Amino acid sequence: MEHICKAYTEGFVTIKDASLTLMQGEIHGLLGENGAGKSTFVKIISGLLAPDGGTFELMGKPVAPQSPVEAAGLGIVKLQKRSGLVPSLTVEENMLLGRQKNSFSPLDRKKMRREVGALLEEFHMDPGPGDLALHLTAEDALETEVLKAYYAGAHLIILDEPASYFSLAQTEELFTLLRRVAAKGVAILYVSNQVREMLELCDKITVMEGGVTTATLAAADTSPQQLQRRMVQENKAPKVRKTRAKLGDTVLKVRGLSTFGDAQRPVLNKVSFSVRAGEILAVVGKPDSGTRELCEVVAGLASAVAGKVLVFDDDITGDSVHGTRELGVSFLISTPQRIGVAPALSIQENLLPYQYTNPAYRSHGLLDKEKLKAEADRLIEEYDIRCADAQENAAVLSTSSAQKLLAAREFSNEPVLLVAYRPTFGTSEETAAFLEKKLIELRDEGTAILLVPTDWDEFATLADSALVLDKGQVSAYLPKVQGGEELDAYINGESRMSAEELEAVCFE
Amino acid sequence: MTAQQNLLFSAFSAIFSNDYLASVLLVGTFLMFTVIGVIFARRSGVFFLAAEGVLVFSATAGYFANAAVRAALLGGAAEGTDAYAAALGRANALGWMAGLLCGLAGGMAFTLVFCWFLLRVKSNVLLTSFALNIFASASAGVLVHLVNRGDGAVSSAVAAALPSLKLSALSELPVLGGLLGNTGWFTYLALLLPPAAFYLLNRTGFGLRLRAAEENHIALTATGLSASRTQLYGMLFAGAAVSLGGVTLVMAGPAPVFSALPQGEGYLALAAVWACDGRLWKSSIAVLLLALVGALTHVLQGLPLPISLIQALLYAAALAGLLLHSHNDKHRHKVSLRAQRRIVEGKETVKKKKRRAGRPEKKK
Amino acid sequence: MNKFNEKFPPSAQRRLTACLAGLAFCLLVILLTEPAKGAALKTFFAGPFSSLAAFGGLISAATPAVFLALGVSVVFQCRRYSFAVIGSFLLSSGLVTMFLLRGNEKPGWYLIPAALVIAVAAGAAVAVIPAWLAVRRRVNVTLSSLLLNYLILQAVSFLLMYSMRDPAAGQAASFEIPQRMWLAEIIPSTGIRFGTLLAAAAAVILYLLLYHGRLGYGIRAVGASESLAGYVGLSAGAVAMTTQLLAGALAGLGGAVEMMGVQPRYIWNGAFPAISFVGVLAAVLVDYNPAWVPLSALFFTYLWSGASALSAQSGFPAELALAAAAVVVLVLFALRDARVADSTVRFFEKLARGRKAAASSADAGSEKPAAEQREGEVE
Repeated sequence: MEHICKAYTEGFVTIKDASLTLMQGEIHGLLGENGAGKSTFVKIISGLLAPDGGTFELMGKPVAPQSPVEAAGLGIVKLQKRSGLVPSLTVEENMLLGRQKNSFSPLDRKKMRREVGALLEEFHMDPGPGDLALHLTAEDALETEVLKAYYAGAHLIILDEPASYFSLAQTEELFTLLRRVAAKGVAILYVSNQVREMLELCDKITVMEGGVTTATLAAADTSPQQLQRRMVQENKAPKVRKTRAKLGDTVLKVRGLSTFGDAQRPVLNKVSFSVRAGEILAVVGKPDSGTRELCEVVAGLASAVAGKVLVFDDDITGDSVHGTRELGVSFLISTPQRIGVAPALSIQENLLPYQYTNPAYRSHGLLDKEKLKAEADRLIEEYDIRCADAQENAAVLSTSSAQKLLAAREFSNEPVLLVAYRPTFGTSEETAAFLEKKLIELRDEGTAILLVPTDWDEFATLADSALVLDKGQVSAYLPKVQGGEELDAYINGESRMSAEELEAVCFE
Repeated sequence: MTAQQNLLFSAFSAIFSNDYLASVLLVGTFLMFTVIGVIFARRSGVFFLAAEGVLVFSATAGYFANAAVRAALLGGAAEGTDAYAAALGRANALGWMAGLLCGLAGGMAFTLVFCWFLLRVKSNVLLTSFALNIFASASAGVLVHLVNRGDGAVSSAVAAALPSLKLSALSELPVLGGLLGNTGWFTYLALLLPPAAFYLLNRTGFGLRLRAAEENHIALTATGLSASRTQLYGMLFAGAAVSLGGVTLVMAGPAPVFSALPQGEGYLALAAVWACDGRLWKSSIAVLLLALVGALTHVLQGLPLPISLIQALLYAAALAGLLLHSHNDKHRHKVSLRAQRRIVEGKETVKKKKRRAGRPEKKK
Repeated sequence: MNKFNEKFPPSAQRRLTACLAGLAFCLLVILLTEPAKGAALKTFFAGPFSSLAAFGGLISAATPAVFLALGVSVVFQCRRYSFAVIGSFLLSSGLVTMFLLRGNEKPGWYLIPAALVIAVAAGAAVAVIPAWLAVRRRVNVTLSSLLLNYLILQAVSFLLMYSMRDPAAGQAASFEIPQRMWLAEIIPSTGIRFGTLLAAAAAVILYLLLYHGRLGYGIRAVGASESLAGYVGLSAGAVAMTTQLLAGALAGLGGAVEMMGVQPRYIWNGAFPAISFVGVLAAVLVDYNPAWVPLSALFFTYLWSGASALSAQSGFPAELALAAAAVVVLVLFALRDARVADSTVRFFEKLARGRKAAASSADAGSEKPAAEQREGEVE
């Protein structure tokens, strides 16, 4: 059982008073929107940060872990978004890492395999003990980590938004495992901002908003709407409305695009579509259906194996980022591998890379610092980027502000085509609404937008037309999104539109 | 025969001689120690650029401890006298033991300082190593001066050689007899190192933890183990091995001379290990190849050949190794563009690369 | 304490402390080992200031180091830790020596510019090899540059032995380079030559380039985040190649300046010239800011001149300066750690308070020092 109550301030994230009580064998959910302070709270529990006040008790004894290592020693294990397994070791080796009595005696491989094999059997898990961690899927890896923590005798396992990239079937597996582990007496803290998941999995839910834990409810006693309402501080900003799209010429034409992904397997297979000026085409699909690779190829970050990408009839298939930018393509793609913000440079330098290379901002061959600063200040003002001064290091920005910085940089170029991949991922509600508004403004100015929406709400708000990708192929096209369409069948690959219907998206 | 033919002949006869093989063994021994050390460092997730400094430091410390003890025990007796002969055995024995111990101690101390900078202060590994290496070679020069300025006994003292293991049975063997009979115990130790390292790194729990330290620290913290402490333990082994390398460099062989100071061999070892992806057996072969090239300088010394160019061969060989590795690496995993096109057009299916039974390809 | 911190930022405090530590190191070693302490200290610390010529000699000797340090600054700013500048320096000084010695009949106005051109070309050619290997073949640039340096060392010594060697000289050295081939003196009778002017100009240009120029932004962006560079369309490879070429050219120029006035002949003592290490460390001290590089290089060369003078006087090896330079950089790194910095600050505060207590006890009664001491302890 733990009870944490404290006042804690750090930069832009404030936790004013957060309390949590967990029982053994309970699955407890921590719910809150982005920026409500969940991550910070969890960091304190797992030992990464120190609280400014309050109490923290584990099994009735007060504890104060100074580091994640100490916390793990006490029995508190936090599972990261990045894998906690060693890739070149097998599952059995990973599970028994560091648990040998004598580090220098030979490993009894047979015994290890038996032990771990029995454990995996007990929990009905897919991977075998001899599988290399390198080859596990992300979901299997996470499940293995959970088992590893349990086997090591953890009292509390914390999962921080694990299912963001999983599909529905895979989360089911994970939840079953979590329930089994909880049944053995381990407390589980599940942090997320998805209400449906929480209700399905957790016994009790604590809601957190604006740095305060506001309520603790039993899952059985509440409903999704109640929780939604509790999550948001003020009345939600009025839903972003958009007018009917004014469609212009075809800007982007993709024909027969095929590409290989990082996994050395074909990821896109003869994809064809077009986007017109003033149109937002939303591309939806499961995480492995190739939406990200599609955005990367169009942006110029990845290369295609076959097919063509044309912007206003200029072939940009083989072009790198430099080439695509020259033609007016901007992109907003932020993934863990590709962060568009450099923490070591100042905010101004992050905002204006195009201006730094633009001759208009130079005087006598040297950079015109005045002009640059004016431009930076203007963008900071317009996009409400929370910072004290443009010359500060970009490291001080919060996720929302960093995303706004990226948007400011990409949108202000007056692009003819914008490729946006999950633009509001990880940002607060306020920022998300702001960015959506900006996207609509951009659309109204005549930019064509290729969008992979962050979630279904964004899809409903922004999409003019929609394209569904399944396993790298186009499975559906909707020329006009009314709202309320059922796209699940297309997403899961259960049905596909006919070839004629799909041809409709290829305007010239 | 013309002058050139003469030269060629003498070069060849020098190479295909017992001297050359003995030289190969010596160079190979010292390189093997260093390379094993670098492998341990790599397995701990450390780019051991400071290995060069450890070599210099341990060589200096070892040599001068050796010479000092030997001189002290000889008590200033002149060569050729009875007193000299009487004290010689003990002086030599204690000399090399002192040298070994001091060399090890010095090298380990240097490694610990390096680890402090790397793991506690978390400074840039390349710059710290560079500064430490400079410090090591500079202080070696200062130490030489100080020692030579002291009482004459030490200045003219010669260090005792590391003893050889005279196995009379082996010297009966037809071809290699003369060679094996004269190899030092340290060579046998160096030959035993790869299997010992293999055992430690692949068959013990310690090895598992080192792999975690190299690839994913989170795996360690989740188990309650400190990643930097694990790295430190790995580096202790690395430092010990490289220190032994430094000691054998200056004290092995028939007549130890201080001018045999390391000249970039630390970097050579690093290049060899990185060109072999940190694989133990592949690196051992690389050591053999490098030893073959390196021994050339010892053996071709008397001949009228440009000695600098021959010495340069060693570095060129290491560079070539790096190049070869990068060339192979580029084409190893990727499905070629042509194959990609064919797969996409449906003419081929994706072939599953056969996984070898052992460890997978390590990521860079 | 905070007001002090504002006027004199902590990073500068750390650098100064590191320099003091280096000086203290030299002091300690000399005191502990030299028999003639007074004379040794005087030669080491006061030597370069003893006359105008000596001071000019210091500046002149620092010039090649400035070139080297500038080259290093550019390259390290984009996080490509290539040590090829040392090889550039070596090759260019060797080639320049050979060129000048061979050009015995040619006039000065031809030899000097031609030598400079050769130097720049040689330096850039050396630096481009690890750069190309890194961009095209992903070979670790540190390892390849270090190995290349050793290769070049052997190659230049070969050149020396077989084409330039002066048998009359005591050690392995080339013939003397005639005076007429030296760069002209700009301040007469001090030994400060045209090369120093070039170095100063280079520092200014590089500073403007890095912090006020388009290429400099690219360099710093690539150094700060490869991710950002890729995102905005900056080619990290092109930037890296350009910077390393530039660094090689600068180091090559340094090598030429070294042979045309600073050193009378090319000397081969079996290892890398100490001045090249001095140059690299000088750049590291000032965090690769070209504006501060000349001062830093001057400081390190001061240590080196002192040690060389001491070496000539009493035979104490000049490597002492290199060890001190390494100590300076290592202390700087150590001070960047919060705990070490805190303990040093507390150490200095205790020193300061101790001295205050001693001073006040001298002019006040016995009660006051007790009070002072108790205060100090409470804090």
